[in-house]
Amino acid sequence: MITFQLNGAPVQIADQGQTLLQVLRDDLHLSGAKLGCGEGECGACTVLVNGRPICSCLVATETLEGATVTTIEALAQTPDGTEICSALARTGGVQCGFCTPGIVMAWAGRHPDDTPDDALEGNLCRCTGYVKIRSALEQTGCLPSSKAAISDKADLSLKDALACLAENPDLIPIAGGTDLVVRAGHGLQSLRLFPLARLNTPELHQVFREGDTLIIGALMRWQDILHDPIIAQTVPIIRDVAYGVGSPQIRNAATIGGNIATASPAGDSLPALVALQARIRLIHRDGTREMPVAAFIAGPGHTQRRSGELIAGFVIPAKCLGQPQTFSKVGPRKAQAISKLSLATVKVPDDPAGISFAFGAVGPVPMTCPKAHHALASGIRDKDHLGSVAEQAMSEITPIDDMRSTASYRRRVAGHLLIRHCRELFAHDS
Amino acid sequence: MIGQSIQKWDALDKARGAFLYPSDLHCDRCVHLKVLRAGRAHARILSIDTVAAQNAPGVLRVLTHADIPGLNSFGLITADQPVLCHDRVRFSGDAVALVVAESEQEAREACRLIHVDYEDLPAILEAREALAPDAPRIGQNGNLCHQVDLGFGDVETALAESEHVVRLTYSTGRQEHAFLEPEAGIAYRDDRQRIAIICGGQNPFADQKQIAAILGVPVEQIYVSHPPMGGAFGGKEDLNVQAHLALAVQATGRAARYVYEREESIGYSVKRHRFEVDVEVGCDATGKLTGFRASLLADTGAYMTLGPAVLVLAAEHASGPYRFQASRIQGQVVHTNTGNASAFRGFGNPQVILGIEQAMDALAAKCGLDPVDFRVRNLLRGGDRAAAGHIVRNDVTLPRLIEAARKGPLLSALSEERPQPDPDGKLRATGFAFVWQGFGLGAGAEPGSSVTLRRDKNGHFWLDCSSADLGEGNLSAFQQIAASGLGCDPHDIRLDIGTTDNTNSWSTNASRSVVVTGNAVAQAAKQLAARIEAGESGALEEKAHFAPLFPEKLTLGAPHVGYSYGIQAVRIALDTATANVTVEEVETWLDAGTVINPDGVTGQIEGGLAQGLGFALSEDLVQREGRVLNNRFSSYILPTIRDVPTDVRVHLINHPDASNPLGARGIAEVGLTPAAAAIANALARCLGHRFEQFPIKPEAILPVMEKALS
Repeated sequence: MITFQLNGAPVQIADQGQTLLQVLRDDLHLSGAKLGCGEGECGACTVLVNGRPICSCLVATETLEGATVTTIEALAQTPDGTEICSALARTGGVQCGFCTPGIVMAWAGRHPDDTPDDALEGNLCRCTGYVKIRSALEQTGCLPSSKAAISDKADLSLKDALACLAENPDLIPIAGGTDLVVRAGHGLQSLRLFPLARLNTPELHQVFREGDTLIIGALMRWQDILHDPIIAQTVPIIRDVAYGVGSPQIRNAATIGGNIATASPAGDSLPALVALQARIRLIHRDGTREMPVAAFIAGPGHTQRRSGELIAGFVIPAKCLGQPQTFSKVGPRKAQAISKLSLATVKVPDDPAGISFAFGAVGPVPMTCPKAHHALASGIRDKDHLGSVAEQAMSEITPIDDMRSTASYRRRVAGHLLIRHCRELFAHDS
Repeated sequence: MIGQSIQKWDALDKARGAFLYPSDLHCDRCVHLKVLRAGRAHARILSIDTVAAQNAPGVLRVLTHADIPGLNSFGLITADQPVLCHDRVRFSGDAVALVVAESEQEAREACRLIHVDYEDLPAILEAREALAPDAPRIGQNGNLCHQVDLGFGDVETALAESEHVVRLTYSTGRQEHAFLEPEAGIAYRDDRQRIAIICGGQNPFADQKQIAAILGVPVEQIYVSHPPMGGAFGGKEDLNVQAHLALAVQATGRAARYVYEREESIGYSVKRHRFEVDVEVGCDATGKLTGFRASLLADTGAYMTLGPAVLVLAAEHASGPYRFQASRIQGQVVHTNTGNASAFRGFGNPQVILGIEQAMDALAAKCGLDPVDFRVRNLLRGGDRAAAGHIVRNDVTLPRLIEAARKGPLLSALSEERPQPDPDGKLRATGFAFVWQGFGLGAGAEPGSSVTLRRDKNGHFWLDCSSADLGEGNLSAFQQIAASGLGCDPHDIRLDIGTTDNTNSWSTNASRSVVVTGNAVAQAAKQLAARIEAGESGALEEKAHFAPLFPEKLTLGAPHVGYSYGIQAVRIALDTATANVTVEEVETWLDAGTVINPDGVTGQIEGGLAQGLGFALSEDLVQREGRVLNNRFSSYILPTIRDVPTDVRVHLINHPDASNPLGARGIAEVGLTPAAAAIANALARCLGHRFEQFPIKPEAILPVMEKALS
């Protein structure tokens, strides 16, 4: 059985491979959270989990033990909820209204710095064009309270967790689950999940210095990364990656470790961590090992993670910290975009080329284009030479045609972006 | 009341999650449905084996064509689409079998156990192949679904003698409605033993007639209710869940529930018609328009749906609100195996406006004239013949809008633009389009609306009409109109609406609600007020009917009784590395006629604009052999809040329309229609290039941009 707080009262539900949205709508008859897409894109199912907006369609109930869940039915009774609902209703922000409860939740649980555009990236509205929603929300005075990142119900030691994983090779570790639940589709009940939220291991949830390196804990959620001052100061491209990950609802659930474990060629943290020359730290009951992220990613959906292993975090070398760096994501729209391609570039003082770079989504793994990198080491930085470096990179990447874009577009834009990034980073030298 | 932005009656409950939508409805002990779709573009059905599915856990019935008691077909114009296919499937979404089970999961699993033997047939995946002599026959009566040939005068001579002629050829995308609530409903036997279907839809009476024919029962035995739903935009005019729900109730005696999954909704529902357009527009040396020639080819997919009506509206509007000396507008709508297209906000006009409004810019440039001036000197006036051949009865009111628009920041700076990349690596330019959009169903197709207004014995007012509210707030507008006539508060008008037990106010579509039904409400209110004024006591009831008068008919569905007019200007930024287009600013000037609810009107324009941005830049189906690949919200690219500019301004400059006593104009579509044309004109200013495919994606812009910048 899973026990959690729902709208102020404890509920117990059977552990049978459902999503939170299914439990709310089908079992508990709370129909304020709507089913619009079932994959975390539309936000109509948004609820607050531990105070933060999350798409309930992406929450495997196994991960909810000890959590606090608030739905629109309860929020609408609070002063903040009343104010947000009234503002939207009064100013024409509600047309068909199917998306509205999710919008109310997203705004109620927003980060204190969020504008409506920041807070509602994950809420599709097909009726209003968002114009009146923006102006309604700007009129609301309520301020969100700060939320703890980690469930205070974490009760499992790392040692016990690793022992359990080592003994049960079919267990699937799940953090945010935003990718796993979508891929499982209707087959969620056939998976044996091991919720990592239960781990009482703060270092997996934090960013911290270790010697002169920086460690980013694998369980850091993207929303925390986005607002973390150390990240912003030392590895700003990781913050830029976070900005482009899904939406607040996705970032409040999804982790950096999950992004790497999923090993999607379109995962934006892959090229960024590769360009930062990061190493991945893997822990197992029988010991810890590290390897370059570039070596860990074996192919689309494939990594070097061994059975029973957990990703503990990412080690960023000192030489890349605080260096000028740039990340570009090219997607089909400005939020909630799966990358057509991406490029991360980091200035590295001891590198023969002066920079380290990696492309995402233009090959099965992040593409570092060794020949183009070598050509940059010549030190020539005029327009013609950069053009030939870009041509070289374009010949080394292996983009494909798919429903999102074409190989030709990806290849040409990769060249343009590399030139743009080089100019930007080399400008720091002059 | 009239003219005030009152809060809609249902807005607060919707925001609070308390409002029940069709997909929120449940019945005790209800059965669940799953439809087996063809999954192939065109094939002969050799056999359907349902034995394994029938014996699967939880399954009550597996229905096929053999189980349809009445007519195994439906359609709004012609009943040509099978409820469950018999011997042939004509698009990947064709329904082949229907599983009725105790749970959704069991229905889904049983569906996989149905074995269908197909013999694949050659498929038509391009509209232009549909009329080839050796093309496989898709439509009931061949592949030509409908055609029009409108115009007047000798266009060939007019174009030949023109000083300048611009010719544009292009195609448009298969846009998905993407209402946030998918197709959904429940059905059961009501206490009068009728089969009751409660679902999202746009015309309960049209549904009732089709369902009764399918079940082989009199219409009185079918009850249809459309409660307010999570959006429609034209995409819920054709039957979706209704017939399958009704069959399940009839076959099992149990209540039934069916909600499309998103993949089912995007993959198999109707779409905006893909058009291939070829236009030639000429003018003389002074900038006076001469000839207009258009050739339109529309792909309606396997079945007729509303294909002919969309084509007719497109032909009527193709030449814009401009005066020509001669014209010819030929159109064909054809059958293919690409999936069904039907009504979608704009209804053919977004496809054709791209021709005339781009041509107007191009001709103005050839004449060395300002593109606004060029349009102004060619506007239709009341009494003029439009290029489709009908007389435009009332003045085109665009001059009032132009005066205001010229003072706006976008159009006032138009002539000064020099598109060079800004320091941020972006090319910026302004583009604009004029638009006209007919409202109401066209000549011969508009039955008018009836409504009943009641005062019950307790003194409460009730509006009784069958109109469905798709989210746009038509019912609130009716409350305002009634309240104005009765001198009460709009929220004192109680609603008894949306069902076949109500007075028939026909469809919620075609920007007709306020103009047609609204005038019936105004009339009923006037009648009721007179009786109250006369001192009548107790319960009172007044029924009224309003139907616009059409002075002429070009063809079934054209012309429209009146038009709404607008100007839309956009400011775009084109990234010179990625070819991504950002729309940074949009300004719209609109003549909405008499405005009932100003926020309601601007909300329609803003919402239409966002859909127009999608139509212009990102929204299209990606298909392989007739199957939809991007059938999810992660792959079908809708605009997010970040894709709609924060700077969106709508100016209402209203002039009552003479076609109806209220003076209203229907405005639900006019905000969408011009967006893509305005963006295309801005891109042409950046790159000197006219694109041949919409949406205009970065993949198409990139090579053009690289050439322009090199």
